[in-house]
Amino acid sequence: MIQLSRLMKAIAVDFGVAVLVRGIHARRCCRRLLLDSHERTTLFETR
Amino acid sequence: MRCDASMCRCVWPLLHKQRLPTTRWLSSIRAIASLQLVLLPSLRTCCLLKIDTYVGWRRSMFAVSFSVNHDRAIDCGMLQNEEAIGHALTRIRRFATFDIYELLRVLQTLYDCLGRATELTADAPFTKQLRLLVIDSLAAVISPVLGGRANGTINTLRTSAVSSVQSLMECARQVISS
Repeated sequence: MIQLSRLMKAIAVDFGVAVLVRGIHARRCCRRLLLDSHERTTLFETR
Repeated sequence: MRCDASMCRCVWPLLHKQRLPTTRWLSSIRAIASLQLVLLPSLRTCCLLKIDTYVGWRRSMFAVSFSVNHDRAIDCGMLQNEEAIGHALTRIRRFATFDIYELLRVLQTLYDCLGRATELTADAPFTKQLRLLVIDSLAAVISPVLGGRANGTINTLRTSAVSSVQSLMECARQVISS
């Protein structure tokens, strides 16, 4: 999960790509991504 | 094809009024999503990468949704040139990943390709214009790692698909048009 989060963060921050993630584990997986690239990231934590 | 934000505002309520049988629920959701995905890149010249983890999103699915909505679309005056639709499709790439390791591999490959975007490679035009990455959804690849069952994942997707896919697409539209 950490590796996944790091990769998504790198794509969002280094290259300015907006990342949209859907899934019930989105927040858990992407905490780092959400903190560091908040403007470019949208998480949908759905059940 | 008229490519502006008002077109999407026209499409959005049109799609919401669709009433399909419950048994076709998931397929109708995919049809809505695929049509909207096609419309998204036409707002501006940008590219979109979608990573599916639970159901296949194929161009043939787009063809089905297009044929279903074609008459309505013509009535609304939003589709005048099918070539424009074909051109929009070239700006969408889709990967199917069925476990977390495959998802990691795709993301790593994407990261590497983005780093080489300045080089003259076959993917350079796409990676240069890539503005949006959609991962739909994490639950299907994370749940098995955490000990979840595949059936549970499918049920979760079935019960949450309408609102979350609609929210996802609406947000994607805002991201691209901003």
